[in-house]
Amino acid sequence: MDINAKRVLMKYTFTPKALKNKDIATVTLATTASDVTVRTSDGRTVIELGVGKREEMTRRKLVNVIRKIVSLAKAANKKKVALDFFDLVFPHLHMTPTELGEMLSTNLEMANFEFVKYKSKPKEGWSTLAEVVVLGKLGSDVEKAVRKGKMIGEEVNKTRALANTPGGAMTPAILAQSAAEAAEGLPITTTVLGVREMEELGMGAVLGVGRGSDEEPKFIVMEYFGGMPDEKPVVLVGKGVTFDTGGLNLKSDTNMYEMHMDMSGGAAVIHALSLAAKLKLQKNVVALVPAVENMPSGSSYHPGDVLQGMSGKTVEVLNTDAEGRVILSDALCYAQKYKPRLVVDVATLTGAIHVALGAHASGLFTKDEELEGYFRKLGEESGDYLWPMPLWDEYESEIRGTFGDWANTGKSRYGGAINAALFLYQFTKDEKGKEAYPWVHLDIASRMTSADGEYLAKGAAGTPVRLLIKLLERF
Amino acid sequence: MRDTQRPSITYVLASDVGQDRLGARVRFAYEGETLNDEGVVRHEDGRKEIVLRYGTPSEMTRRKLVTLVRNIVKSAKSSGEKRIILSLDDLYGRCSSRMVSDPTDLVSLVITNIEMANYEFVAYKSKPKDGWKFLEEVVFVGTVRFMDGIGHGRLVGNGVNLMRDLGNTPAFDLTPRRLAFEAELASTGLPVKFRALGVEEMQTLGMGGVLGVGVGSVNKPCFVIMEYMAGPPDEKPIVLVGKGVTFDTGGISIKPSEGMEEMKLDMLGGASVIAAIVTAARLGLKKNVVALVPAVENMPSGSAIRPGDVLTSLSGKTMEVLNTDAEGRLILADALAYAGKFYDPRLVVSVATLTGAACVALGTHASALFAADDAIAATMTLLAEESGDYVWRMPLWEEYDDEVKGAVGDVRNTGKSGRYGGAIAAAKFLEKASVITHPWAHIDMAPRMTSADGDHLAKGAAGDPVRLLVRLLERYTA
Repeated sequence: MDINAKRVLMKYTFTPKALKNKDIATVTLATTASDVTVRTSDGRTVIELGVGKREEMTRRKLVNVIRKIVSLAKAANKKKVALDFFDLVFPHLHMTPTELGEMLSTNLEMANFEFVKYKSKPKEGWSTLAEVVVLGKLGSDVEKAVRKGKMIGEEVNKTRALANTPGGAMTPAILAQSAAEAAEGLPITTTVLGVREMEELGMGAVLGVGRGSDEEPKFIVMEYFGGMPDEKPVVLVGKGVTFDTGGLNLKSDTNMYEMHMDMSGGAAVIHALSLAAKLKLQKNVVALVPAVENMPSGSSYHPGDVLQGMSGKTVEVLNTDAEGRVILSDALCYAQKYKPRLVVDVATLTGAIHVALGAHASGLFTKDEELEGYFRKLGEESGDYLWPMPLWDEYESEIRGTFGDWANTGKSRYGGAINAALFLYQFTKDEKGKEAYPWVHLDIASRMTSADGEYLAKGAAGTPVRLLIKLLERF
Repeated sequence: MRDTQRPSITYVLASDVGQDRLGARVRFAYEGETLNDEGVVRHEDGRKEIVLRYGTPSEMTRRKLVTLVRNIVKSAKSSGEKRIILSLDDLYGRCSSRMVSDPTDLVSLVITNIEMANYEFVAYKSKPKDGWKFLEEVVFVGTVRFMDGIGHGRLVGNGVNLMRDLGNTPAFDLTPRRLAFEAELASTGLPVKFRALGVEEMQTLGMGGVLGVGVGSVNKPCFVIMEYMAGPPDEKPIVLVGKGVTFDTGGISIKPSEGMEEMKLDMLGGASVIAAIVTAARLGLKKNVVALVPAVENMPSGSAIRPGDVLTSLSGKTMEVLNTDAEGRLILADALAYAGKFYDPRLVVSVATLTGAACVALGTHASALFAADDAIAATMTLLAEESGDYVWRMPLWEEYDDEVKGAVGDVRNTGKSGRYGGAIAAAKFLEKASVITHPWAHIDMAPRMTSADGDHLAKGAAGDPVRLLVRLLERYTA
């Protein structure tokens, strides 16, 4: 899908000296609390962005400062901005120039994105920024980092575009097609399993959830093997429910319109993998996306149904609206065949995580304390913030089934995100009941859409692509 | 309070019980032994055993030891055994050093949990013909090295059960003033200074939060202050603040009727700080401790506060009431401000059944812990693990500040995102409305208000986090 249709791509230029062009707004950081836009006597526009005391700057605040540049430029009707790179350097943050360069362009791209595909072009054109002039004597490594950050930002935006696309125009087949497009021209093997192939593999969980829709479910497999042939891969698993009505346990009407974004996890892993290939990472990476539409119909799966998935374990469906974990169970089992060194699943899984964490963090679940610390750090560095949640044995009794091995909802209405995570955990085990691989689960429902105060367009937030690419680079 | 009708347990430490056949001996299943059911086994020769499974060394944890001990009591009670015999040597031999630190630790933990498991709230029930099925005597087979933990475990267990009694007592019999009276009664004979502020005194001080929430009820609010100063005179105190809403209807923003009966438990934060300071005094801790309990009843009436009203806290901040059912934070803001104003605490801990959002977040096995300071959070989490009152830390990030910014007042009592991030917004409210500057930790104990399946505890108040608070008072050094 061409997300840049009707939009101008942003250009970055680098120059050591300040510019006097009247069409460029110069941005400087001020120590004031509020922002001022001034017109100088020679007709130039200077935007003073108030950041308060410089010593109180944090990495998190800096992300928002960078994004705010875009919104202030738009408010001043300027298509071009110039900023001094060294104005953004805060020594106490201990960031390398390349790190800052990457952060700068990643966040400018994210802030400049708006999903206008379905809108008519206004007379005066789209109010997007066309050019950023980075001032200062910079090494080529910083320029390179800025270009890399631009690539990351664009990939985040492609994820957002996929997620923002309405359910009617984003079926499992179209999501599979989008995955193939994201892999185009790159050394990625994309395989899409259809109903028959899934039947042969015994993926009763994906097939069960997908049964109610006229749109057939798909299972997307993307492989990028840029690393050593004997290196075990990192497997990313993303929930791809292209529209979630809840099925027979139909959702209430108030929030259903956002449910076209219930494939955000899938979109994120597709684009994280494609970005890894673009950045030519020397790593082996696999992305798996079970893609279904969850609909109420004469052929839907029912509350009370018991589905047998690829693992052979049975899933007792107590609520058809807890479908994400059901399809992910097959994907987590499928992942075992790669003997992965790490599996990360990403899903807009529960409303409970949203109630738990509000809109500023995704839920992080893992049995491995080291991975917990590692991921939290990645979260802070990338800007896709995480908060750990418990995965204690004490919660397991919540999801023990009556007629099947595991029930897809907890017995009480509390701790829903934990119950969902513990359900998934059961499918990371092999047939002997041992953990088949190190595993991390990210419940991104709380970060599905952008929050107030983060200077991003309404709609999909594009989490956690930035975190995943950092993970793939380093792990 | 009514007579609890519970006998106290006698603990006997014996080196050998020989052929003593009274009561049931506790035995753990042998390796490879097939058990149909865990529980009491009656042998033909009249011997009785309570046979339970003890996990393999790699499976066993301190947490599992806690539930195992409770299961012993549960098994005895369910078959009417009033006397049990338990070998401490055997049990201690099975415990690894990461489960218990020493014999005293083991005995204290065992007895605390025997007391907790023996608890049942029967004060309002008629005695059955064959009597209550409470455990009356525990014979420990062991040596003198286990002796020290006996008194400690018992006092802690009794503290927990005092809190549960206060909580389980119906609101009709436990008004704000009755709660104050029970606190005074519990501290009688102990070196605890008790005081309760009435409406007029609170008006003089300007405690608009407590007064505002309490104004809808005919049962007047009060503010309980308990001081136990047994530490060095120059040592700053630890101040415990507990929410004491003796019944929470929600007020004008009234709750749905289903489950409202549990709202007599909305004073458990208050009850737990009362129980903790009383236990500290009974244990004779050489510490300085203060407990503060704003006690109110939240009722809908012609005189109640309304959504949209603005109350002024003791801190000077104005609090916009968007929902009268978010009342706990309004009264706690006053109490936290009081702690800062009249003491110079080295640590303030607020304890409250504060939000349903904490339940949605954490289910029924952990209370939510909030602390801006990483070291305090780590200490609390460790003590929680040791005590058995488990907690899980939640974020208190600046990003959430905006949730509680008021439109008409300084702060608003519900988050802008409504139920999303509700527990975080409540903690943020406390931080902003009370203007707290001292080291502070906040425990949202709503998830642990009542006992959970698998706890092996009687229905009703679970008793959290009294054990954690007592341990904190014993161990906190900063």
